[in-house]
Amino acid sequence: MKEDPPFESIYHEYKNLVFNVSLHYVLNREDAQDVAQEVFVKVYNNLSQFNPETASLKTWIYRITINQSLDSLKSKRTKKRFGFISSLFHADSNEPIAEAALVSHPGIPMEDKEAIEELVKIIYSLPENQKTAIILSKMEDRPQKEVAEIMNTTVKAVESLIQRAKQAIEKERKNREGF
Amino acid sequence: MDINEKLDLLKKIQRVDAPPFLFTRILSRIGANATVKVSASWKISFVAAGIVLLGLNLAIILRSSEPQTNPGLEAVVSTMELSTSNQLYHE
Repeated sequence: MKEDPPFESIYHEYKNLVFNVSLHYVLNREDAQDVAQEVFVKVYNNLSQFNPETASLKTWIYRITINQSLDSLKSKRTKKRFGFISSLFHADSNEPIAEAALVSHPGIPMEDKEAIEELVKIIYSLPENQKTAIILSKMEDRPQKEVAEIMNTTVKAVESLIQRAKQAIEKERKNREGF
Repeated sequence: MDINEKLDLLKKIQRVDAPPFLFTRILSRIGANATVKVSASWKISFVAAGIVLLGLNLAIILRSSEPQTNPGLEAVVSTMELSTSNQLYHE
């Protein structure tokens, strides 16, 4: 194994960023750990290909984290889809089927737990781009310019994504309240 | 509650520290990947050995398909009146 001191300093600088962004997507500590692990393995393997002229290290790490988190959600969804079929053949299997609505985000404060959990469940079900725009701008509190850079798009497009996400969240909230 | 106020609730989500054992996990994962990796020189050696083996096999197949005639041996067989068939008794 090659010794790479910069990797260790990169890890210590970005570990919390990667872990928290992953957590906002997958909504539980165990999956976020797996995502963070994969992110840093990718960072280590592709560090030589990183070009600081095209994007900052932070933006690059954000992009890897977002892609890895979305991949993790996709594989969870596939597992869930096939989980029913496999459970027919392996009735004694104890393997948990991916549960989209299960929220165990350790950063959610107790006083607003119910309201925030309801909100993150709705965000979880949004299309990928809208979800990323909301997570970066509202949960990560990044300015729209930075969100646009991370998402490799324009500020206008980010504004539009956030607007559409707000409408979708509002609609879903009303559905849940029975309006 | 207005949607913007509702979304502002998300800012109350606290930052969580990454688990302390994560770096060890990552290092062992990187180490595992490194041991599985095959170097380029080994890959080239394997390909070269494969090509040599394939060439040798082709050469043997092509040689064996050629008709084997030996004029000296045929002359000895006819002089000594040796039978080249599997028949034991001549009629």
